[in-house]
Amino acid sequence: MHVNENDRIWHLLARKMAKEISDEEDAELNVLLHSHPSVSHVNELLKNPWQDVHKLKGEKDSETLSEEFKQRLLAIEKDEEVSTLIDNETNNGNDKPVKYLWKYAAFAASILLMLFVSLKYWYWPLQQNENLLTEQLVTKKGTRSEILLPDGTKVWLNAGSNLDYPKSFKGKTRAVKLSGEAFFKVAKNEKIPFLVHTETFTIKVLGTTFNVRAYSDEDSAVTSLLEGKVEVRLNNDKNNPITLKPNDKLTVASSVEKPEEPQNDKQQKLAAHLKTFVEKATITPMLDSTIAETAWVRNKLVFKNSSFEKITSTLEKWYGVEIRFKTENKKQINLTGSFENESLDEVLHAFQLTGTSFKFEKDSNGVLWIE
Amino acid sequence: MMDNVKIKSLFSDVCLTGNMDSFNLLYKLLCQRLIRFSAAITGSYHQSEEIVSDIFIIFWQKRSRYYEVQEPIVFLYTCTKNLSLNKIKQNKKYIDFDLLDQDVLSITPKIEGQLITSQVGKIIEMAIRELPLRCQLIFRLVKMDGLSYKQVAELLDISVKTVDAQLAIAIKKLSSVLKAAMPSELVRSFLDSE
Repeated sequence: MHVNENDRIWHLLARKMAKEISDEEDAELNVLLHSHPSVSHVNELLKNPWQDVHKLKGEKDSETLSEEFKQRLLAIEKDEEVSTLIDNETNNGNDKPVKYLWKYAAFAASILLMLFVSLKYWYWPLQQNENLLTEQLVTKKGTRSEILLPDGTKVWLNAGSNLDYPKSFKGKTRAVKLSGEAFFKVAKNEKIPFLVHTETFTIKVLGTTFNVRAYSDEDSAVTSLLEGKVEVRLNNDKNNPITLKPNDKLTVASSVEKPEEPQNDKQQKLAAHLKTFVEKATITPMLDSTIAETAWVRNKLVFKNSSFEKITSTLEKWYGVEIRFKTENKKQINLTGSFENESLDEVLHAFQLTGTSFKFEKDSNGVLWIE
Repeated sequence: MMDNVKIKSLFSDVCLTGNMDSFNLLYKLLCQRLIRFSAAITGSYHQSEEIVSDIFIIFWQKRSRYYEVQEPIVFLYTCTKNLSLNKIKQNKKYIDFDLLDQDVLSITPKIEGQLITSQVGKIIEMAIRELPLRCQLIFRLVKMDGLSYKQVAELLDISVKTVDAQLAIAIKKLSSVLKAAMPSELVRSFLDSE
């Protein structure tokens, strides 16, 4: 058999097999096959299915693989690891976390690898400078996420939040930027303090467990400390750090209205100071010993004597809906409740059943109105 | 054959809505190919099964971050490649083709329903085994895994032209051994049946 067209027929056969052939090429191939009938057999072989020659040691069929994988996924979804970690924190037990450290370390390695792999396919909003390569974890309303930072710090990110963190921690501090709510379990490293920057304050820690709620659309930012010791510096009063002990909760009203007119420095500082309201309180567990501030980490919604306005702000992020008030005075009603797996309707119905008088209705745009 | 459109839609369904059924189906569709691909690098089916399972678990947990991935197949194959290289301590970006496991790569036409004997099947298998390992891998990825030229090129960091050229080499070789092996009357009977 002679094929003189510069081996063209092999390229055409290859393209045909890979379904990469154009109509013109296909026509050309048919002409070539006609004049080289023996090659038709190869064409036929390439069209038909092929199979692996060797069965590998331990090889399974896709049905078995798929079933085993489903089981693994379900076990992980139950999120026993997270519950155990949180339980240990609140109960002060310390027998189990070590078991998970190894797992987390391996997992961290995998995540880092994934991040590296996906670099090529990602959109990097913060990529300006090679040395300051920043990652961003974003949760949309209605979703929550968790991540292990390069230093081993574990972060749970609540709905509608952003966390900016470096690809690797270099230098004298480990700094991240948060907008929204997150629960931190900071890996201990007394030489390199961990800093959480928010719009309202910066928290400095050496290794501890705490929650930060700093949504830009809410009028105050809160940090709750479960374990260890943290130092909080307000952005507009950096010289007077506030130290928190376990079970302390610090609420700082964000000075939303910043002075537009340029004023002299002293005046501006004074004005900012006056607008800041700082309150230190103690975290008190609910009857069932859950802590309202960190319940979200375990997929629980817990409200303790919170205003309806604050509650709807949380519900909006949790369920990814928009909630508005038709009647202003309903905003100030204080409510208490604990939910797990309930739908938004069920949550609101439960509040109605506790004797709170209000009505709710969804309009055609999907906005939920309370009156 | 790889159904590109279906995989893309399952992938985006997982990223945007977190549909676990779509996710499990995606795993089912791709696991065998990915494990084989990984095993060609690691030489261990067991280890590769873990690698692919880990990749899907991480993908599931971080799913909302991957919705902008344009080529899910290349993405998942690339993850598999990198984690496999990482596991065998070849901490580099590229596959060392000389170290690929030939037995894992080996393929041959299915005998049933075709005009070849198992002996001819064996000859085809041997002919392919004589090709360079890189060529064998490319042939396998296109023929068995159903990857497109562009997908193979991106995955292996080679040009589309190289993929085309390597396949042409493989097919030319196949044709020459077939011609020598096939009894002429069988060829004729095959042609008559056309």
